[in-house]
Amino acid sequence: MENRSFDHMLGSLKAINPAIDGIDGTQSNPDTQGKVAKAEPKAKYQSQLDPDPGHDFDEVDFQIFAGDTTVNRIPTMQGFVRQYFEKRQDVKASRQVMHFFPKEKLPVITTLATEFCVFNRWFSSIPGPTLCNRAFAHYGTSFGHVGMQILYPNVQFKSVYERLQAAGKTAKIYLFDLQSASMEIVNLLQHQPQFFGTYRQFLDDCASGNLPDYSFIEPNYTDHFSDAGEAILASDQHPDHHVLEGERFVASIYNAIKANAALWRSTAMLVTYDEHGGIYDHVAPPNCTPDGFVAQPADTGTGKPFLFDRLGVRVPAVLVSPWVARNTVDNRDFEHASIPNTVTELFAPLHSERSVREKASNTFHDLLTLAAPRPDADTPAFNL
Amino acid sequence: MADITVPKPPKSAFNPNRPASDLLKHQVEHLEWAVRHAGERRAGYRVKPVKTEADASKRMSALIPKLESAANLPFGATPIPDAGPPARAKKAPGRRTATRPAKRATRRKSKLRTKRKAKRSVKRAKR
Repeated sequence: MENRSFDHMLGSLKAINPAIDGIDGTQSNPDTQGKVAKAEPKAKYQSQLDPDPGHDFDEVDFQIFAGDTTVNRIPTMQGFVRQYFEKRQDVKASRQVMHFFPKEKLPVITTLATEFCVFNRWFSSIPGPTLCNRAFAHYGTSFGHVGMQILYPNVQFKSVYERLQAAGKTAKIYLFDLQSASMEIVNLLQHQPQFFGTYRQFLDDCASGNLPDYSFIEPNYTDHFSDAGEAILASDQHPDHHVLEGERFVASIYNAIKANAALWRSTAMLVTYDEHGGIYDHVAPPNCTPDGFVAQPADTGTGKPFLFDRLGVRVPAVLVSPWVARNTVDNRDFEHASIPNTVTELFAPLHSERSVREKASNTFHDLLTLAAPRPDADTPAFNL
Repeated sequence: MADITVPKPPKSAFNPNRPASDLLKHQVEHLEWAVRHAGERRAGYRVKPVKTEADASKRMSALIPKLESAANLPFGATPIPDAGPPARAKKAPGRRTATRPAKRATRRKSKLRTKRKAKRSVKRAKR
C-alpha cells in the first residue's frame, strides 16, 4: 500500500491496547506561526491531503530533524507541519498532516491489527520516496538510490523472485491490471514475464489452490475505466485516493485466502506500506546497519551524503495468519528488507548473496507460534 | 465473531482527471525508458508528460505491450503496435479470397478506429 504512517492509520489503537505504540494525546508539532498542532482523530478518507505531503529525501529529513543540520542532531519528529506548509502555503491546512483515523473509520486494518499481529516498529527502509523503498522489498537494497530513479541495470543482488525460482520454488507479483501497471520493477516486467499475474488471476489462484510459494500483491494505482467501461477506483490509499477503497482491497485479499481452507492454513499475509507519505508519526527512526552504498549530496538534496545508516519513518504493518495469536504486538525493529530476508530464509536458505542491510534485518516467520490454527469462527470475516 | 461490513466509497470519489502524482509520472518515464533500445536511450529522448491519472493509465497500458516480454505477459497483451506492417496473408492456390483476410482485417481496424474516435468525441462533449 502507499503513503500512510503508522500513527495516521493505527495510532488510535493505543486507546484500546496500551501496548500498541500509537497516539496518547501528548503528540504535537509546531506550525509555522509557533502554535501547537496536536495529533487529532480528524483524518478524512479523501480531500484532506491534496496536494500530498512531501516525502522526498530532503523533505523527510526536515520532518524528522525539524531543520537541524548539525552533526549530533536528534530526530525529534517536529518538522511535519512546517514541511507541509511548504506545499500548502496555508497554516490551517498544514496542520492536517497531524490528523489520524479513529478506529471505527478503518474497520479492516484495525481489525486485522488487533485480531492478529501488529508491528510497533516497522520502518520504511529509507527516509525518502516510494521507489527506493519498494526496491528494499524486492531486492533487500536500493543499490544506493534515495529517489525515484531507475535502478536496475547490472544490479548485483537478485530479486527475491529470481532467488526463489533458482531454488525451485515459485513466486509472483500480482499487479492490479494493465492500466495500473506495476511500480518500480520495470526490469522484471521487461525481461521476466513469468513472475507476473493480475489481481483477477490472484483471486483465481486462491480459489484453485495454485498460489505460488510467495506472492507480492499490488493495489490499483489509478482511477480509470476498465475495458468494459466500468469506473475502477484506485485502491493504493496514496493521497488523494479514497482510503476506504484500499480497505476493501485488503479485505478482498484476506477473504480470497480465507475462502480456501487449505490455503488459509498454509498462508501468512503481511500488509504494509512503502513509506509514510509525509504524514506525521511520533516514533523516531533508529540507526541501522549501513548498506555499504553512499548516496551523494546531489541526490539527497540535503547538501550531505547519506550512508544508509538510518531507517525511514514508521509505517503500518500487520501479519495475518490463523497461526498467529490474537492481539500480538511485536516490538522488534523491522524494515522492508525484512520481507526478502524472511522469504529467502524460508524458501531459499542457501542463497547467500544478499545485501548487508537484508542480512542484518529481522525476520518475522517466528510469529507463527500457535500449536494449532485458530478456528474460522475465531477469526474475522469481512462483507464487501 | 460477527461479520464486519466494509462500506463502499461514494461514486464522487472517482476522478480520473485528478492530476497524476509524481509516482505515476515516474512510472511512465520508467516504462518509456524500458521500451527503448539502448542506442535510443543514450541519444536521449523526449517523454511527453502525463497530466492526469487517465493520461497515466492510458499511457501505461499502451507501453506495457511494447515491452520485450509482452507476448508472455498475462494481460492478453497485443504484439508491438509499431513493429511494422502486418505480415501478408499467403496466397492459397486457386482461391480468390486468399488475400481477403488481410484486407478485411485492415477494414475492421479502421472501423474500430472510427468507432473509438466517435466514442472519444462523445465523452469529450459530455465533459
